[in-house]
Amino acid sequence: MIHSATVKWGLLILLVSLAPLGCGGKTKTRPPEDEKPPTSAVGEMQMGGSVIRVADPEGRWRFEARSEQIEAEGVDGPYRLHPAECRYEEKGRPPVLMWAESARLDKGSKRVLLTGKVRVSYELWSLDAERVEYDLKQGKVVASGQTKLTYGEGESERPSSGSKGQGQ
Amino acid sequence: MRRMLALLALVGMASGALTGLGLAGQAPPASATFQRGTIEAKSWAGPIQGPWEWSKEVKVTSSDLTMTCDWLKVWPTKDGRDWEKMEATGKISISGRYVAADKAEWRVDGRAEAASYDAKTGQGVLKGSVDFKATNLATGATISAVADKLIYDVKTRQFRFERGERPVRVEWEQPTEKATSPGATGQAEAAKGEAAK
Repeated sequence: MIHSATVKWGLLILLVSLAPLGCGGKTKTRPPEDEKPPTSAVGEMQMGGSVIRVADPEGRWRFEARSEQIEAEGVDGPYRLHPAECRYEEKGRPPVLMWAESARLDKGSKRVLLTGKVRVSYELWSLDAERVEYDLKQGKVVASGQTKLTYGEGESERPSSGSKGQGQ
Repeated sequence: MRRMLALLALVGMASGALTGLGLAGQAPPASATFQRGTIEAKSWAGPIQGPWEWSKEVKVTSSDLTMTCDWLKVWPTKDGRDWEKMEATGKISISGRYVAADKAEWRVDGRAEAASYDAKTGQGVLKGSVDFKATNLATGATISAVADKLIYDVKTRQFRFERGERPVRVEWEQPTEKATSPGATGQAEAAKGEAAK
């Protein structure tokens, strides 16, 4: 099929053009990839070192996930990140930072599932868990496995091991 | 930086109760002792700004004191720097080492069926088969109390035991005498009335 082949070549060119944007530490200058997604549904694709952004249409919150390796099952995801470093920011509030060995982001349902040595950090507390589900629309978290919340003195930090993604 | 943690006012209640029983003189505000801690559980859920719920094998640790329960819910203040309110249910257990204002060290063990704290009223409440025991680590003196409800006022550092129509039982045991001291077991008071929540 000519159309299918064209699409695949187009996708390949797009991925090649995106790859340089996803490498290195100059993450603040990256354009938002989610604003220019591939234009056709395809099989699984991989992006080396990149960022995925999801934002509330009404501007109440925005979510950003970075990883050294991102796999997508389709144009709209879900996306799988290994490892994952995420940032959720509600308007007028401090950011929520997240790290995990892997993450699964569904832009459609606006949910992210973090698994493996998960840490969620917000202002004066940090949560460690094996599994965390984050509903981006509601800003609601459900953590399971053994969960541990640390509060009080000492600022919350990223885990000492795990993600090597770029911090903010 | 102000890091008052009302959550462990419940733990402080145990200490406050002991203070009221004459063990420690003037205790510091319950929350002043606890600056950093952890809450562990099998499950944790809630909006990122709270309120949060923990369930199954909940364990709160701060300083040298530990509280365990089946379920815990905490409402943080808007700035996230304090607890506004908290509730806990199911096999409440408080244990650990408490250093009183007079530097005396106590081994504290407490039990109850439910616990709550409200920063607006400044009161912490333990309810249901409240049972407290404290041992002075230096002298070995032991004091214990049994009641249906323990109300601790964080601001005034006063406490009140309630046991419905029955008298509250308070026992004091000196280690050297190996027996309950005369008159120690008895009718502290059975205060009535509703505890502020």
